[in-house]
Amino acid sequence: MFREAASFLDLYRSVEDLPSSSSQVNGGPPPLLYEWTIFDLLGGEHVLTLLPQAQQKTPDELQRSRVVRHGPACEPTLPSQVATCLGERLRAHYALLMNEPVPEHFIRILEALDETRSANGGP
Amino acid sequence: MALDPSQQQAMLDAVPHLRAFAVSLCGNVTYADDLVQGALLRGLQNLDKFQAGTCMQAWLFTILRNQFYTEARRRRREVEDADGALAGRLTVLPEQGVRLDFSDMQAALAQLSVEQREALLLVAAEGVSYEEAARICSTNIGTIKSRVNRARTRLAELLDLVPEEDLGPDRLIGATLFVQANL
Repeated sequence: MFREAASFLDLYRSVEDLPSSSSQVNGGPPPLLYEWTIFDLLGGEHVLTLLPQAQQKTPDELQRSRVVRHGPACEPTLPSQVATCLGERLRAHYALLMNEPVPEHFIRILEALDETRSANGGP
Repeated sequence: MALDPSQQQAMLDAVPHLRAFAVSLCGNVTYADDLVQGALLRGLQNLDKFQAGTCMQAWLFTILRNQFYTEARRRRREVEDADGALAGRLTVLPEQGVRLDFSDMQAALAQLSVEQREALLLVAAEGVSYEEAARICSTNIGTIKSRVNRARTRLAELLDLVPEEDLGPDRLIGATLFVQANL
């Protein structure tokens, strides 16, 4: 892993604080892809580590990967007409199942267990 | 402690919901009935753990779901209904066309992951809130929303629902509305 000593104020910037692609296009400073690993107050030495992902990806790729991780934009969306139709079909499907008569044995189970529990005086 | 009449009624009222959820989840009526029966028995055995004032149906959903996952892990089996046998075991389907629509939907549901299927069924079919669904599935609201969203999208693909087509009421919806109107 690449390491170098450098000035904290000049070089430190976390990957999550990378500027957007548009600010780079508009002439903003290029992102510095370093992360603090050691900050020795007594010795005054500031050691920064070049992040592995920074060695492999361009700033644009980093920005895109951040959107994929956190952004709601990656969630698929359905046209409202399709979503409405799908909801209706799903509810109709479910309604058919709900209209099935309750099997008699479920009622008998509840009644029998209720009697048993009452006879035993507790659960 | 005897079973309170209101609790017994709440359990009975929950049975159709539990059955519909279980059938849609596992795709097999016999297995679904086993799950419902198991959930009722377990619920009765642990009734002292039920918090008064909370939703009995949601509590039983949680028990049923946990039972489904426990058995799935133990048996490593996933019950499917690829040949449409499920529709033939139901008693209220009025005609062949509706049966085909029903089988199409069930087959499409079976192709979703279990996590997506249960989230979609709870929220879009059963009508529970995202919050309640998250509690039942032991996860957070964001995860439930994501699962429902992805399940909807996948289901629309599987059912060939495209905006250009006529998406008006089909035979299944028409027949269901007819059945509901004549109850």
